[in-house]
Amino acid sequence: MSTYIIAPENQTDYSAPENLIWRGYRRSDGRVGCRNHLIVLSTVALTDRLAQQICENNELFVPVVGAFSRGLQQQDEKIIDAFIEAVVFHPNVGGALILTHDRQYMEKLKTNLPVSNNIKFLSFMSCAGREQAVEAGKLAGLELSRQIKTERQSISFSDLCVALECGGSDVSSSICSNPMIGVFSDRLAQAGGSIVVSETAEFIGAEAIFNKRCSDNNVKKSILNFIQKKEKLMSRDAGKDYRGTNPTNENIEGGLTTLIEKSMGAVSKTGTSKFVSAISFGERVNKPGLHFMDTPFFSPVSLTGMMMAGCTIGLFAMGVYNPSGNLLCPTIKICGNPKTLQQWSGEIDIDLSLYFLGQETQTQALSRITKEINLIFSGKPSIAEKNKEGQFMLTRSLEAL
Amino acid sequence: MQLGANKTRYSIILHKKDNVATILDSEEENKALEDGTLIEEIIPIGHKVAIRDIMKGQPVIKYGVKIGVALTDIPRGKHVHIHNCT
Repeated sequence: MSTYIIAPENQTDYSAPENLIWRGYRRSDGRVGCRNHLIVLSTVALTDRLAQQICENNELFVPVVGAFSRGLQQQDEKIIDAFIEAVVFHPNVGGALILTHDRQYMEKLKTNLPVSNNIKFLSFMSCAGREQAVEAGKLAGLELSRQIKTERQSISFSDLCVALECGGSDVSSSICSNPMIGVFSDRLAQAGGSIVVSETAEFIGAEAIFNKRCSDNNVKKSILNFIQKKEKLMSRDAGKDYRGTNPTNENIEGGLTTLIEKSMGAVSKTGTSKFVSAISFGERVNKPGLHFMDTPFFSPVSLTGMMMAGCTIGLFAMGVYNPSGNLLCPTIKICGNPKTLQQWSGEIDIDLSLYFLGQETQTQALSRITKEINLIFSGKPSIAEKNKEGQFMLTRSLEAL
Repeated sequence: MQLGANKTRYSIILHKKDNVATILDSEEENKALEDGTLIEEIIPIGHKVAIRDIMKGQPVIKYGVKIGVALTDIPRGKHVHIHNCT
């Protein structure tokens, strides 16, 4: 009880992440990945099945499928375009086989995407039947896989770009996993690394923290604007004032007194660093520090947005179990709830229950978190990766044509 | 920090500026915190206890941020919740 999770007085009292050996894949744009995936990207729902067939029985290929629609308008169409470029050139991706339905769209992509030797295209309708398409895809993938072979090299802790996420919140996540992630996040920000947090709705009620935690007034204004817009949407949807109905009776019974206290349970994963930018869904991070991304609350969508930003690893705090992850941004599940850990034994990467129960010190817990992040970054598959768990989901604002 | 050790309750203070701790066990028969704070009432798991005297009108601080204002004087050791904080 003499220890403080947030801003601990002695910052050197656990395995300092700067002193661990970090090895990754440095890409030509300077960004660093922790995986060298070969993706089979389905650009439209019509090629989703083809992508799955190409990836069948082949551990080398990662299918990127998202039931993407046609006939999208304006910003919705731009988000798909941004998604394609973001995944093809993601730091965790070494090469990409891009599937299109027709030749016309393939030609458009060839023109619009930056030139790279590690991309191949396949237009489904240009193939002589499904079987030939699958064979052509497998062959192209194999060629790419030989081409993208590369070794990890020494990188620094500051090359990490981490996505922060939480789900299934409860007392344990608000007191234990989220604040612990906050300590790691502060450490990374201090070292010069990048962090992205999203899920705008989580910040409703916690607006006061931005008074002291923004690098400048514009960042603060943009973040507050994102939150205000989200609150309006939520109140309209529920037909009642969000602020007036939170914390809920259940929350109050659990010990939460005010809305900001409830919000801080999730917001504490951002630590105490300053926010250096406010970015829209999927926007790429272009400087170090802590970034706020405006996303909907559904975690597969936020994770997709943060992956698009260039996040190479995700820290996911849980109270109650939540399976979501992202195939291109290894997602590390961190949980302190003993009941969840028992029921979902083997499904959670970092067990903080000993700390939550007072049987482990904060220093010990932080050291374990740091080591596990380091191991997973270095290639040990996270549990979500083992399960091949993950979704690619985008935001949509307008009606499709 | 040992669970159930010497009749103290297990609790966590999240930030050094905080004037409340969060109780994390259900040992309601135990009447003290590790720092010597005497608990004068039944405080359920997940609820907050004042670890310093908080005067009426003063901020209640958790996570290092103001989460509310004291509606009455809250002496150290008292339960902090909707009855005395808003």
